[in-house]
Amino acid sequence: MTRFLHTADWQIGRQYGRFAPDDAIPLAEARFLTVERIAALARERGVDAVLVAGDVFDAQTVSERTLRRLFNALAAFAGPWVLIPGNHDAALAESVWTRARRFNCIPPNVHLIDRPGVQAFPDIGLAVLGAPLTQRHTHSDLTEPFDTLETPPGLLRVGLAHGSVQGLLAEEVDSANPIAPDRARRARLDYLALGDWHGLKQIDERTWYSGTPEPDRFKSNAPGHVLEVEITAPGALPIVTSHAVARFRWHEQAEMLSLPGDVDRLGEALAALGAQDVLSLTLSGRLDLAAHQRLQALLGEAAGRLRSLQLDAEALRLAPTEEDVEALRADGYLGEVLGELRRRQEGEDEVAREALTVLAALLRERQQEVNA
Amino acid sequence: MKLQRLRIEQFKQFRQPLELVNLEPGLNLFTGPNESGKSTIVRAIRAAFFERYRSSSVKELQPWGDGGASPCVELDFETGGSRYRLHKQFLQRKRCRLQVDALALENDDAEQRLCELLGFQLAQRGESKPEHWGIPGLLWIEQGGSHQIRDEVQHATDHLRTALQGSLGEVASTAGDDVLSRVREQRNELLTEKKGEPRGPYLDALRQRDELQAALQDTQQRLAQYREQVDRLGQVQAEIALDEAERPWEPFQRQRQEAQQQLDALQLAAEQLQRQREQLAPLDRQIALLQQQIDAHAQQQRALAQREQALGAALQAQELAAQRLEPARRRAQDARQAQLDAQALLERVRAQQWRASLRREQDAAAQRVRTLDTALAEAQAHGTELARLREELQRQALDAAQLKELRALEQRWRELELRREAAATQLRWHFNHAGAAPRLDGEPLEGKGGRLLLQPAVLELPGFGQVTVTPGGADLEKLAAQLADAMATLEALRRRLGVETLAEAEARHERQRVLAGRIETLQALLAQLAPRGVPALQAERDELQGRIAALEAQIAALPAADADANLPPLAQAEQSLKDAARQWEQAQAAAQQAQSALAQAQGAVEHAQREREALRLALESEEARQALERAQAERLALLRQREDLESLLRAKQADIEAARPELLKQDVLRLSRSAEVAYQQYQERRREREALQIRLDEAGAQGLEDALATQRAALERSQRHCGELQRRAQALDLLLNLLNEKRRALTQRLQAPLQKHLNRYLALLFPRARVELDETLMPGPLRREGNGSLDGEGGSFEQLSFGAREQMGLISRLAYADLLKEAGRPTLILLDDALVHSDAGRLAAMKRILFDAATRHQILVFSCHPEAWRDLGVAARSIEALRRGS
Repeated sequence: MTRFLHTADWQIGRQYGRFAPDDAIPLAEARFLTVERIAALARERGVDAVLVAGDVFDAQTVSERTLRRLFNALAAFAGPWVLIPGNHDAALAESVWTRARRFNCIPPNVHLIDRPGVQAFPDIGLAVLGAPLTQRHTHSDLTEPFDTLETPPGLLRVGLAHGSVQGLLAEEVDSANPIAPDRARRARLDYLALGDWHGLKQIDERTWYSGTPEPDRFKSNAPGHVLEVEITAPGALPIVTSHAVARFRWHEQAEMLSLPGDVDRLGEALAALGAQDVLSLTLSGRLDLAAHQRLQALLGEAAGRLRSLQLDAEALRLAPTEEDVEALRADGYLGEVLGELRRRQEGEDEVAREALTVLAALLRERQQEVNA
Repeated sequence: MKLQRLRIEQFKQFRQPLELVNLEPGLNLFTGPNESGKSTIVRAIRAAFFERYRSSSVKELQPWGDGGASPCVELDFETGGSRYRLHKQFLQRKRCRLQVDALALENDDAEQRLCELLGFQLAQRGESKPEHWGIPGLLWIEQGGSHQIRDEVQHATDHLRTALQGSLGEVASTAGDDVLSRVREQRNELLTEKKGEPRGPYLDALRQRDELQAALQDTQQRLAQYREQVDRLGQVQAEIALDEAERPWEPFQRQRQEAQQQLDALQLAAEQLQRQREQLAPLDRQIALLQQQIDAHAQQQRALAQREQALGAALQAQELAAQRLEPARRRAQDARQAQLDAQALLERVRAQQWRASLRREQDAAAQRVRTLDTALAEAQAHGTELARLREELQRQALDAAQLKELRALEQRWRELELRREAAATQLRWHFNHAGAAPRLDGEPLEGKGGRLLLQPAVLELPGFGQVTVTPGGADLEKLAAQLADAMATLEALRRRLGVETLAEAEARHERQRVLAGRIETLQALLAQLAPRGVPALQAERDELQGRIAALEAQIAALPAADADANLPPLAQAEQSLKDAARQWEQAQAAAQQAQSALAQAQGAVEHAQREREALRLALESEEARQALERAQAERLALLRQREDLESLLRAKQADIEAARPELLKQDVLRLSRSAEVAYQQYQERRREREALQIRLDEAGAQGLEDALATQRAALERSQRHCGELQRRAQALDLLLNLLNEKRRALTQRLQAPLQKHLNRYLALLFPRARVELDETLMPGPLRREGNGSLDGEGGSFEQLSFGAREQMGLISRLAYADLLKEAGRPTLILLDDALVHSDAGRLAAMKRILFDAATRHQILVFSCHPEAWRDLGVAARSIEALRRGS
């Protein structure tokens, strides 16, 4: 019986450009921590090996420090780590791997398969058929040689590849690095460990995408896992168990606000989130000034509490009521201007909406001055 | 507001109290000449309201020279249904008291109340100034001030606005202008004021975005380069692997070695050939030597024939020279004879020439002698004449001075004569009978006559006795003495000169002059004939005579003259001699030449004979013949030997050429280069791999992708920020425009009531004209219907004519008053000498306007032209009368 962990798409060195630097740095940092957790998990579960199906690194030119940190993060598990390059870290003439070799920072228990072929681990009954990417993109199926590659008898035949299984991943129909959906069967594989798809996905009984262990986008396709695979003997069906290892939870939420109560409901939803959460919130609808003010307070509070709050309120209208206007004491021609702006923002006039916000703020500010 | 009573005391020119009572609620007209106190009354009203009771800077209110006075004004008026009494006293007893119905206010409170009531401000310190006066400042027109309005309106704007807003309710904004200014401020932080271009933080953000974009592009480029280099490295590595597997330079090296071996073999054969070829040269040299021997023999044969020929020619030449010698000698002798003949002839010609020359000289001397003889004779004749003339001149000598003295003496004598006659007694007689004649001093007197008596005379009258006549006077005797003296002097001179009379003296002097001229002429002639004197002339003649004799002797000594007169001229004879001499020289030379030619020819003949003999002996020897034959035989043998060798060499050369050694050389070169190139390429690739690895290593260390992601993120944030700023700027711009627009519309709405009042008066003053109010409530340009043009150049109020401005100023004020009235504010209108620049027509219209306005407001008119206001519809009150009355 052989047990190993299947993971992929670590994307070490990834930068979170859309986020403020305060958020981006912890998010990048989290990827190292997750790798450390994988190592810890491997030791804890006592597996025989860890297979990483490509895109260990997000880029070829990550800094030396990043390189060293990654290999250091593997330290907790002393068994074999079997890695292949993916499209982000393809084994080019000069690559993150050649650099790692130059820096001499690859530990001896890390086995990089950077040429297509078989690497046998007889002591754990495992032969890994690797299909590394040696170019950034290929349009031929690199797993095709698996069909004819021989492995020492008695060892499990486990494929390790990076690409998109044709016809099953609707969004990536024309994507590069294709993989035949029936490769496991045709190549008589006991298991085919795939990378590239960031969500957890089973293709057939022997073929899986583990997904990225740490989410990096707001796609709810079950990222944040590693797979533990147990195969009792060559030809036996694998037993696959998933483990959640992600540090941060990424949420995408769209809210239509029209009644003051909607703001309260949103507040409750936000209250349920904490420092582990990364939220992309899209707001639309219309609010009176009071509700808008409450919303602002709510969002400010959430932004401070959540790991990151990405807000899109482009579609949210400010709709001052008559009472609002009265409360602002926008008398005389100010009232007329206010009215004009309210009319205009109905017609999708963003500038008018902004102007309205500015005017309302000025008036409120003035009022506070007067009251004070 | 209705002013009912006014009382002033100790106020400027009113030391005594003056009181105006029973003021009409409408129009009130006060008249009086200048200085009567109209303006003082106006000043009093102003002071009562504007000047602070405690002000110490109002000393001008005191009567002149009265420092202890307390100027005092008391006013009764009614407004808003309340009755007011204002009592204000300045300087010495400062006080202000305002009674409002039952309420009494004192000092500051009282003044504050007045401010609020009428709409003006109090000066914090010092005298009140126009900017404090507010509405009264506008409605109370000072003397000569009705044409000005801008400042007054400005100082009253706030009060007017309040009045306007009061009438319009809450339409106006309390916060509008504040918000407007904040929006403008915020907008101008992001956009330039005029063109609305980005500035400040907005501009900074845009710049930062552009910089980021540029940096990003740079990084992208570098990354692209990096990737290219990575690809290149892959390619180079593949090529190196291929090179190392195939080693393409090795086959070239092997082929090159084979070609080199072939080439070496050929080289060896060629060297052998060369050695054999070198044998040809000595062979050729031997043949040439033999040929030379044969040739030398033939040469000697030819030389002998030449020598024979030369000998013949020399003999012939000798004969010819001998023949030529005799005629030449003959010709030389002839020429010698001709030369001697020419010499003799020349001597004869020269002798004849000499004789002719002597003869000519002799003839010339004889001629000269003759001439000299003539001249000598003439000169001697002249000499004789000259001596005679000189002798005569000596005799006749009487010079000019002597003549002059003589003349003077004669003159004196005559003068004395005349004087004596004048002094003498004149005696006249006339006798007419023939008797005995009377006698005077013994001299008978007959007939008629007369005589001068110079001394006593006796007249004897025959028959009668005698009469003694004695001339009178002593002078006569003195004169007689002088006369005798003069006569004696004259006579003495005459004797000395040897003349009888003066005439004779004159004649002698003339003769002397003529003689002198003649002598001069003769001397000149003589000088010409014999410049050196006659003896010299004589000597010359004698000398010449001697010369003639000498010449004669010379001629006689010459040989006798040639009988043959046909001698050639001298030049010809000389030329003949020269020609003859030259010919002789030539003939002599020719003869000598012929002589030496003959001698030479004889020498040549001897030499030729010797040489021919020597050569002939050498050639005809046995030894020489044998040597020739031997040389000819040897040469033929050697020629055959050389031919054999040459054909052998040709065959070998053909073998070598058939192997194409030059192509083999090229093959070696080509193959060795190919090997080299292949190897160099391999090395080059290895170097490129090194270089690429180093470069990539460096670039990899820079973390280009990290940088790119960071920059991309920064750019994204910057773009978002720019977008926000842009939207904000646009929003602020929009907001500002909207606020301005709405504010303008509102202002127009606000001004509508004021406009209405203004139009009412304007229609009376300028029918069919329009005036718009600007934002400050100031009347704008006057627009007249019909021509559509503006009155005045730029159309503004200040550019109207003075009169029109005055009228416009007044009707605008009335309109403000109407507005204030509608707002429930007190109005009181004071006109101090207004409208003095208006023509009759406009003034009439203005009176109608004033009359109309007076139905709503109390108006106090002060004027020094009572006649101009007679038709105002109210009785004029004379200030003077009022003073008298009080």
